[in-house]
Amino acid sequence: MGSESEDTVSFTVIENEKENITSLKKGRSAKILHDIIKSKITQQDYNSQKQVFETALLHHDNDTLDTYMEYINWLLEINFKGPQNDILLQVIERCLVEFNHNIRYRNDPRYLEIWLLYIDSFYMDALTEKRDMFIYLFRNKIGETLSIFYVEFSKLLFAMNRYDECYDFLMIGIQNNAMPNDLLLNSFKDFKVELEANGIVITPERNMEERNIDDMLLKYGNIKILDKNLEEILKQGPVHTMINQIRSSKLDIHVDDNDDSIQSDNKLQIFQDDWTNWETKSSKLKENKAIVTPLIPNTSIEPIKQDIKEIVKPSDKILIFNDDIGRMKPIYKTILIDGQKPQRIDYNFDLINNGADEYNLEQLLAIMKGCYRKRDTKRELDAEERPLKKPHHSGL
Amino acid sequence: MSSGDSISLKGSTRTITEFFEYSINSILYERGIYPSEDFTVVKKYDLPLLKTHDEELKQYIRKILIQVHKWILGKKCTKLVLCIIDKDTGDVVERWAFDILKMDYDNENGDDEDKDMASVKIDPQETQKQIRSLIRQITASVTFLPELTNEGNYTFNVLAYTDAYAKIPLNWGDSSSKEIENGENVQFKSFETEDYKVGAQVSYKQSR
Repeated sequence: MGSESEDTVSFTVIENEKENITSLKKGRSAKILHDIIKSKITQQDYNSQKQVFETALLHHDNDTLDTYMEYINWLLEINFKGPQNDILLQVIERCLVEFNHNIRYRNDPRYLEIWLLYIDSFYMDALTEKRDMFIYLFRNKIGETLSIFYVEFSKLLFAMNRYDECYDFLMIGIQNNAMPNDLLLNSFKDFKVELEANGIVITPERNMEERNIDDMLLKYGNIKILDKNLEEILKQGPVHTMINQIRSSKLDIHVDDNDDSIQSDNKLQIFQDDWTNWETKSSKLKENKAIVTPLIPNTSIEPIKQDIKEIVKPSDKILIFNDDIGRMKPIYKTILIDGQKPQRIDYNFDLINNGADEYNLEQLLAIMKGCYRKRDTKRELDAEERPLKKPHHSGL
Repeated sequence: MSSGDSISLKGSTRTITEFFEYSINSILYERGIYPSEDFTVVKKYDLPLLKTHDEELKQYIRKILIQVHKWILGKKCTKLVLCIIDKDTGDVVERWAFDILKMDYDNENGDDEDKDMASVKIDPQETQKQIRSLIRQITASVTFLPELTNEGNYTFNVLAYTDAYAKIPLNWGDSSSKEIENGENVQFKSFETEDYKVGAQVSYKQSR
């Protein structure tokens, strides 16, 4: 029977705000939504809870990443109208920066999850930037052995119609033996089915087995990051990263014509970015971005209608210039006289002689240019202007 | 019970079964349990709703509803539950429960506004309106429900809470209530017919 427990939330409370709720992949707590909308969670509660998290982070109480996860989840839940303030972005980026150099967390699913959340939430409207972020992860070997990285990346590439890359990265994932295995394999199967269904042919390179990750790095590494492309980074000379120190390998980067040099391990150090150079989004927040504000009931959000003054519309199509434009065929006048053959006058007789007046060519030219005035000798001082009859034809 | 009103009972039952048909279809569509290509838009309750045209699924839902219809008509069914189940783990990820409450207006617990009437007449138009806002709420609930990520890997199960004496066909078995432990519960609006009051509720758990 209707077992209504205490924490059952009435949807009617939430309903008014339903358009303002940003959905989360993992779902939202209806209870929290209810409490916020009913103002059961006050600013004070919010601040004190925030303080709890901050203190925990400061003292490294438990696993810091766990605290971060909780903190971020809480922020997501509490700001149900979407990230309106920078706090979420700041916390996420703080977390990403904090663990970036920590090899231990590279393949931690929680860390990757935060990365994916970050890419998803703050790069949602820029596919290319999104791809750059994924390549950044790839270059830094974050999520290298996690299927979810390859699956998410391939989804993006598929959406960008980069099918070859999509194939390549899924293959890299399989080669890397990313876990869980079946997730990746299923994704690969789906990808192939999708390709067939859409009749897309890809040209995967044959020697996939011979290909190593480093080649792929070179292939896909050449993107603009930090507004520099690969060549510029190469020119900069050795890049010092933490990983380098650990490996204690030489950092020299040679640019040789010889292809073999590409295989050298040192070369690929350039792909391990120096985090300090990485500009976090919060530091370059775009001022020009419109702030997302919640919809207020009964407001019209359609574009404001413009007053359209009547505009003389040009003809739909632009005319293609042609020598005949503006010209006419020669105009003749045919005079019919009874009993005789019709007589044709070989010029535009009506133009020169319009019945009352006769014009000479200079006069006609003046009429065409609109500066012909008939001089009234009688009333020369009287400046009354009579409109001139426009000539019928503009050409002779 | 208002005197021997079998016509109204039949009508109410039909309204309720029809509602179940549309709400089950809507949930299956909204939650992506079946591919969206399998659904077509139909106009019902003045709303564009989606209904499957997959023969197999249609037959399955039909079979369930015919039985549920019989039970409701015999006043033997008190609750209908639609569980969405992850095929891989067998976990119930979402539980949509519809309570079917008998309205006994002879007793004093009828709604206040209807008290002055000897036998309660509920305008079918009003019922339709209530159903409409209930279905709207169900549709809108996707805003907080978790994304069912394991695409194409879900199935559903219908549970009916019946009277102990109800006749149960062979293809219906006993089941646990498939509750979601520590889940969140959201109550939707309800609608009333002359004989029943139907409420809806969803339970879910945020994925980790």
